[in-house]
Amino acid sequence: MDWYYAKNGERQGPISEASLRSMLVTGEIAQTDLVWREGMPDWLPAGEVMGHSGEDSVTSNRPAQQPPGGSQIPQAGIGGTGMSGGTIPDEQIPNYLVQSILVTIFCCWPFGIPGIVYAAKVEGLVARGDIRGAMEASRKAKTWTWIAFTTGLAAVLLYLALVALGIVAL
Amino acid sequence: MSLLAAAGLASLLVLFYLRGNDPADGSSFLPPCSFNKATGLHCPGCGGTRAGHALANFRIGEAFRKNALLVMLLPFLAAGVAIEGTAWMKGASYRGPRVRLPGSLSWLILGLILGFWILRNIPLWPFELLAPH
Repeated sequence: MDWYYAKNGERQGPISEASLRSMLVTGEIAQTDLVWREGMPDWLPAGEVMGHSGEDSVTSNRPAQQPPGGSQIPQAGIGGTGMSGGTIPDEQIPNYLVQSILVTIFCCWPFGIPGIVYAAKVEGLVARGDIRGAMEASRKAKTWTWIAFTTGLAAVLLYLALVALGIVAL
Repeated sequence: MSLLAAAGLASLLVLFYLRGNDPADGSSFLPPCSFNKATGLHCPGCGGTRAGHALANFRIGEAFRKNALLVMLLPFLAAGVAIEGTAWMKGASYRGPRVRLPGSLSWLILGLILGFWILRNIPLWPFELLAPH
């Protein structure tokens, strides 16, 4: 199947999978460069796509006939700092900032604070073009947010149970 | 993200509940801060439910005295929840939170929270104004 790749803010291709792999080997396409082919919902870093065996991992249940965004490479989101050209679809990388602040203030700062740290890192990494790092930070922010959320929920339920049993007074 | 929409809905329910139940006189079922119970210190969220009670009754000044940080972050958080919530309800191509901020602003918010935490535990004027009172 034919592949497209993003270079200098422009869509290149189509090229065959074999060419794509060899360009990855020679470094003509970097691991972090975005690639797309028919059937993929979005552009992904070449390293992500080629790391897997292909088909299942990247093909969504909503096959697209055109590259997302028509012939354009997805533009950087509003507020994407430092990305004037806009070659990186940074809106795809959630930062979980709002969520991590919410869990920090409303229940569990021990787990919420690391969440905010990683959430804040996402933006800087995206601005530097380190998509892989940004995805990693995003994943960690999500994990910490969920840990905080579930811990808080469990604590509230436990408290209410203790109150209901008359062990703890209001 | 559905979790965030749920959080927004839960916040509204809690606010509605707090309107008639004052945590200060023990008529609220919401648990007090366990960090405060264990250490006697105020965490960044301490005074939050009392601030919620004040806000639900439109007493902004009192809410500010209970937890100034929460009141200041509230417009930002509400906007975040509203934006994410609408994007989630529109569904289709939604792939995650859409609120983008410059990285420096994210760090500033983290600094605010940590700074607020430290300062509100200093038992001297004017820092004591940051503790719930």
